[in-house]
Amino acid sequence: MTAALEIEALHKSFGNLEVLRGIDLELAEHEVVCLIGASGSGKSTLLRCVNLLEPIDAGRIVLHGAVITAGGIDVNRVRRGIGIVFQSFNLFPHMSVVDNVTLGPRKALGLSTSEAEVRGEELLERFGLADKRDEYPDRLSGGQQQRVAIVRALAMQPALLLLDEVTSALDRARRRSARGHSRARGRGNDDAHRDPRDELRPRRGASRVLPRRRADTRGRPA
Amino acid sequence: MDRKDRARPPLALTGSRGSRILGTASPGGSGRRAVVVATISTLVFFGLIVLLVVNAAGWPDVKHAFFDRSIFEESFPEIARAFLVNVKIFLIAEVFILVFALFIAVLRGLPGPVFFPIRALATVYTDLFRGIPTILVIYILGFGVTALQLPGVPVSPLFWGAVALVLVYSAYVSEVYRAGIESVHPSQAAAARSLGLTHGQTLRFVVIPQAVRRVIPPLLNDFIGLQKDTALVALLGVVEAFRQSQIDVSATFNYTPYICTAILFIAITIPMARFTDWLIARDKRRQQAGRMA
Repeated sequence: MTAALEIEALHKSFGNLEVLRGIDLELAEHEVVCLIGASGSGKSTLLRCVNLLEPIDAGRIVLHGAVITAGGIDVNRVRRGIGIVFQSFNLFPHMSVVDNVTLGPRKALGLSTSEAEVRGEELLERFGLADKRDEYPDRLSGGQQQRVAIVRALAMQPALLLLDEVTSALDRARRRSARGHSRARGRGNDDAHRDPRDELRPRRGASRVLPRRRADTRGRPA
Repeated sequence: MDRKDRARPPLALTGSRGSRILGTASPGGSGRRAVVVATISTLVFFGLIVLLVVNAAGWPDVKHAFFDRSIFEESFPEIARAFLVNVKIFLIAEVFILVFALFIAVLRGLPGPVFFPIRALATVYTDLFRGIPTILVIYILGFGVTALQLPGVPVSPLFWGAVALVLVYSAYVSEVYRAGIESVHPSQAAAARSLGLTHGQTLRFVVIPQAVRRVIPPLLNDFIGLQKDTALVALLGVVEAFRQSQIDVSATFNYTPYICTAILFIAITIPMARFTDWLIARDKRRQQAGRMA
C-alpha cells in the first residue's frame, strides 16, 4: 500500500536557524496523525512546507505518489487538495463568513456561487455557524472564527487536512465535536493530519502521535 | 398618533449618537461649556487677526487691489465658467489615475526573477515622475509631443495637460497603493494561496480590497493636490479659471479676480478635505466596534 503522504529528509532553515533537520514522516490513507512538541520546535513550519507555503531547502514531499516539491509543479493545483487551518485563522476580514468559506471553491475550483454556497452552508450548519452566515469575522468570538477557518478549509474537500493548533480557541464541548468531525473525515475518503498543541488531551482522536523534539530550534507561527 | 410613532426611531437614533459624540468630545466634562469656550476663543482669535490686518498701513491699498466688490461681481461668472474646465480635467484625470496607478503598483509587486524587467520599469516610472516638477512635465508634453506632429496624435493642449497630470499623479498614487498592499499582512495572502488561488486572484479578491480601504484617506489627499494642480494646465494656453482670472486682472489692473479663483478652488477642496476627515473617523469607529464585539 502506498502512503498518502511521504516526507523524506526534509530540511528547512530561516537564515542561520535550522528549523527542520531531516524530517521523515509517512502517513497512510485515512490516518489521523497528531504532532506534538515544544513551542518553537517547527511544527507549524512543517505544515507550511507540506502546503508549499515555505520553500524547502532539501528533501522531498510526496503526495499520493507525486513529488510535489519538484520544480515545474503547479502549486495551485497541489494546494487545492491540501486544506490548512492556520493557528491565527487568517480569515479575510473584508468578507462575510459565507464569502470566506466559498472563495476557494468559487475561484480555485470553479464552482458556481450557488453550488459553493450550498456546500458552504451545509458545513456551517454542521459546525453550528448557520446563523453567522452573513457576519464579518471581526464580529465573531475566537472560537467561532476558528470554526469558520475549519469550514473554509473543509469546503475545498481536501484529500489532506493540516490543522495548526486546531482546538486552541474552542471550549471542551466544541473541541469534542470538532474532533468528531475531523475523525469522521479521517474515516471517510480523507485523511487528516492534525496538530493540536493544546494540553487538554491532544492525542484523543489521533491514531498516531509523533513527538517533535529539538526544542533548540524556533519555528514561526503560521 | 400614527405620525408620532413613526417619528420615534430616528429620535432614538440621534439620541444615542449624540451622547457618543459628547462622550468623546469631553470625557468627564460638560459638553455645552466646551462649545461655549471654543466659540469665544475662536471669535477672539480671528477678531484680533482682522483688527491687525485692517489697521495695517497698507490696508486701504490692499483692499482696493484685492477686494473690489464691483470687479468681483463682474468677473465671477466668467471665472466660474472657466472653472468648469478645471473640474472637467480633474474628474477625467482622476479616473485614469485610479486605474493606471493601481496597474503600476501591481506591476511593482510581481513576484519572481522573470518579472525583474517589468518591476524595474515600474520603479523607474515612479522615480521619474515623482522627481520631475509637474510644471516641467506639462511643458515637455504640451509643447514637445505636439511639436512632433505625429499623425493621429491629438494636439490639444487640454489633452496633453491632462495626460501630464495623469502621469505625475499616477506615480504618487501608485506608491500610496503599494503602501496599502504591503500593509496587508502576509498571512492573508498565505491563507488565499493555501486555498489554491493564484497570485492574481489573491491580489484581486483578498489583498487589493483590503489595501484600497486602508488608503482611501491618503488617496483623497492626493486628489486635493490634483484639484489645485489643474491650474498648471493654463501654462499651455488653456483658458481655465486661473488663466481667465489673469486675463481679467490685466483688463482691470486689479487683483480681485485672483481672490475669485481662490474662492472657487476652496469651494471644492474644503468639502473634499472634510469628506476625507469623515472617512478616517468612520474607519476608526468601525475598527473600535470590531474590537468591542
